[in-house]
Order: sequence, then structure tokens, then C-alpha cells
Amino acid sequence: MSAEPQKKQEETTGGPVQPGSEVNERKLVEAAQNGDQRAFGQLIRLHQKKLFRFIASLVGSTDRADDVVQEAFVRAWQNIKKFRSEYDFYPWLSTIARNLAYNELRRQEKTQSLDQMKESGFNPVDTELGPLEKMMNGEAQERFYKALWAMPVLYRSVFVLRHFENMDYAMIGSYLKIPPGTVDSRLYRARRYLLDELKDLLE
Amino acid sequence: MDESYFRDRISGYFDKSLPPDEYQLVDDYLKDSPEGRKLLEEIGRLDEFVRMHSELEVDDGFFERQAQSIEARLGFASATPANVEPVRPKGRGGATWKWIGVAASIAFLGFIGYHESDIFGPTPKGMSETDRLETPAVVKLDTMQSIDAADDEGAAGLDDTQADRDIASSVEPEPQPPRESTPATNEAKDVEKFEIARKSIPTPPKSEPAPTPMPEIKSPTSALEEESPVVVQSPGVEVVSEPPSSRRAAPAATRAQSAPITTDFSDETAVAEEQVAETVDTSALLAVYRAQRDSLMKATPANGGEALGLSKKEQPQSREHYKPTATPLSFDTQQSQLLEACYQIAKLTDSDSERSTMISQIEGMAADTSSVVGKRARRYLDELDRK
Repeated sequence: MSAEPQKKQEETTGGPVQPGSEVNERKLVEAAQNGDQRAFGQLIRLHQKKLFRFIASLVGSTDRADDVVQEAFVRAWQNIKKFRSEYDFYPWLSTIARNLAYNELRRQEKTQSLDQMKESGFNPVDTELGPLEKMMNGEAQERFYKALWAMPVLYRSVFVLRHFENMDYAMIGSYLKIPPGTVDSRLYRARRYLLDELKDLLE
Repeated sequence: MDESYFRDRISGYFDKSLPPDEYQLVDDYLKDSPEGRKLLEEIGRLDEFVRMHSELEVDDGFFERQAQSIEARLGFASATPANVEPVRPKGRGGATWKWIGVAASIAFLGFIGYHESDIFGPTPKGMSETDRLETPAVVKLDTMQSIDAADDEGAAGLDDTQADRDIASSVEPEPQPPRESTPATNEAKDVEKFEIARKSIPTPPKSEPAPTPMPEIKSPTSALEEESPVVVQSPGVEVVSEPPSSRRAAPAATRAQSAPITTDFSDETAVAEEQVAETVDTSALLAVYRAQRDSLMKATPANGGEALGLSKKEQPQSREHYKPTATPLSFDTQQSQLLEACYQIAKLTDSDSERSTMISQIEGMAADTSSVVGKRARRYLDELDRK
């Protein structure tokens, strides 16, 4: 490592930080780009919770979400030098994680409609949450996640991107390569399904 | 236009994402349709319900173990074999079991110590206690290596469909090695249920479009040229795939590959000292949490913005007037992150006044008895009290 990056590293994370000095995320990213492992460790700790919640909602499994989040950080570190630090770090990181999550979900159903799934006798109440059950905060939350994860990926992904990442329709459409009208109709079906499943809790 | 036309647009109407002409059409439809209005109201209730109940409770220990596991996979200097514990969420009674385990170990060691000569017999001359204790460590290492080797063989033996490989290769430079799936896992059961349901369906619905396409990976340059605010850069390309065993996050494989295991424990003290030196810089973390708090305070409702020295203009508005600014986060997510930042600051800071400001901030959030954030805030207050 050259002398210059080393100096920057000391300024950002290595040396004592004076009260009031502005050590922000960009500096952590820049330090990580210069090979500062501790700076990247701090970036992990800053973003892992949000990322885990998002990915767990998308993939519906603690183990898989854990794998995806870990792998996303590994890829981020491997490619950190290509990242342009003037942008926010989280959107870049979550894009990596989303791509990995979709890779994970590729075995799940892609064409099944909610009506067909229900007609075939599938009951989301029977979905087992496994270790995730320990994270559930009450029956309402448990029922919500059971219903969400029982939903086909086609609908779940639109719902999660809208409600957990707060993306607008254009962003969702751009990401999933579907027209905004399709985003609209899928979101409606996802919501309709949840309304039916959680009817008694919503009254 | 039939009902389905409006139904499909009612979500867009609720989210104010329709083009003006369509928005007007749905608006006119709703004036004459009590059913449509009822549906809109239900969607509003669902939206509120999701905001109230979507926050997952995961203890901090889980995340710390996960962070250490990632660092170990990356071969960071601060990651030691001891850090690489299997990453699994802890139940609420995790701490109790840990202490019971510690107490049981102490009792067991005490028993062994008391009956040492009965169990082991006298220590032979020329053999120290350390020599005797090192033997099991070597056995453990061999066992772990053989488990990892078996894991690798298992992974290599698995096969996947060509379609899956094609999809994988469209996202990554090389096909991803398939993961092992144990039928006993819940995840496998879920997939199985979907599979059974899918097989019973003769044809896909006509109204539904083609399967969700895999998100296209863009090169950093091309992604930047686009106006899409989501994909800024994507590093998925040009990533050299790792061998199958290292791709899996299975703890055993991680331990074996990322954290070198050695039978030579003579430098254990040096490693421990290095680990202490490598502890995350508290003041740097504190500064990051402060920056995060200040940024969030500008976007979330008043919980002491004045106390933090924010100007009237900077002080947050009510939930109703809340507009995401820098980051597109929901109100509750912002609150949750703000709570986390305040809690961490209160925990880390040396300044009593800052700590009490943060505690008042958390108390403000704890007042909301109906939300998950409020519940967590009360738990944090208890923890801070104990300290």
C-alpha cells in the first residue's frame, strides 16, 4: 500500500478521531477502497441489519438470507475499487444482494398465479418459519410473514421492493424489466392476496 | 371499461403512481363505486399493517457473528478462528442458555480437577499438562477437515437443471454451484409445497405475463449512463467465481477455508493481543452513528431535534408530513434506524450529557406503545439502565 492511502486510512479509521470531526460513510468507503479492512468492517456493521431484513423478506429463509448477505458483502469488497464513492453505498450493495437473491430464488415458481396456488390447496398458515419464528414479534407479524413468503416470487418481489425498499413503480419496473402497468397489477394481486389472508387482523 | 381495468390500477392510484389521465379515470370510477372505495380503504389498512408489523426482531449478537463470519471469509486480519461461529439467529433465551453452559462447564472442569488423579492417573514424567490437552485438538482438526471434504464432495455431486444454469450464467460470469438442500429443512419443505402445487396446474394463466426476468447485470459504465436511480453500478460482472466449497457460507467450510487452523497454539497470546488492537475504533463508529442520527433526524418526526441543536427548518415534521429525502426509506424504517443510532451513541459515548440526550430521544420513541420500534426502544432503555 502506498504512503498516501495509508495516511488517509489513519485519518479515517486508524487513528483517534477528534470530537466533531466528520467521519462519514464516504470516507469509510474511500478507506475501504484503499484496502482498509477495518473501514469495510464498519461498513458491514452499518448496513447489514437493513440489508438482512430486506433480503430475508425477499427470500423467506434465514439461512438463505444469511448466505446472500454474506456473499453480497464479499462481492462488494472484491469490487469496491470499481464503486464510485460519490454515490451512496447502500443502493449499490443492495443491488448486488438483490441480484444474488434472485439467483437464489430461481428455482422457485415463476409462472404460478395466486389463484392457482390457492385452488391447489396450498395454505400459507401451514408454512413453517423455522428459526425465523424466533424473530417474530407476535401473532400478527408471524401471520404476515407466513402469507408473504407463501406468495409466489413473481408477486412477492414487487411487494417487497415497494414496501421494504420504498421503490416507486418506475424503479421496480426498471429493475424487474417489466412495464409499470404490470407492476401495478402484480402489486394489486399481492395486496389482494394479503388482504384475504389477513382479513380478520385488518378489520 | 370493465372492473378488472380499474382493479389493476387501484394499487397505482393508492400509491399515486398512475399517469394523470389514468389517475383521473380511476378517480371518476371510485366516485361511483362503493366497492372500489372499500377496496382502496382496505389497501390503506394493509399498508399501515405492513408498516407496523414488518420489522423483524434480530438480536445484535446475530449480526455481530454474521459480520465476523464475513470478515473471516474475506481473510481480514481481525477475523480469528474463534470469531467464525456458525451464523444462526439466537432465540430470546440465548443468553440464559449461554450462562447455563458456562456454569456447567465450570462445574465439569471443577469435577475433573478434583478427581484428576482418579480419571487420568498420575502425569507421566516428561509430559506436561499442555501436552496432554493438545491431543484432542489435533483430532478435532482432522474431523473438521474430513467433514469439509465430505461437504465439498456432496456439493460437487449435486446437479442442477440446464435452465437454472442458463439463468445463473446470465447474472454471473460462471454458473453458481448448486447449494446442498436437506429435505428436512423448512426451506426445502416450502419449495416442495410450491412444487406440488405447481405440478397440479395444467397451464399458466393467460392474463399473466412471462416469468419474471432475471435482473440484467450492467457494467458499471453502462449502468451509470442510464437514468435509473436504482442500479448505479453493478459489480456482478468480472467477478471471479470461487471454488464451490468457498461459495457456500456453511460454517464448517468457512472455518476451514477463510480462517487458517493450526495445531500450533504457541502464538495464541499474540493473536489475542492483535485482536484487541484490531477492535473496531469506538470514536470512529461513534462519529458514523452521529452522522447517521443527524441525517435521519432531518427526515423523521420530532423527537428532540431541538435538543440536538437542529434549526427549526431542519427539525422533522409529523408522520403525515413526512417525505423521504435523501434515502427512500419508509417512516418506520427511518425511526428504526434512528433508534439504533441513538442507542449505539448512548452505549458508546463518554459524555454524560450526550448519553442523557440520547436516552430522552429513545424515551420519546418508547412512548409509542403500539409500534415495534416503541417496544424495542423500551428494551434498549432497560439495557441502558442496567449499564
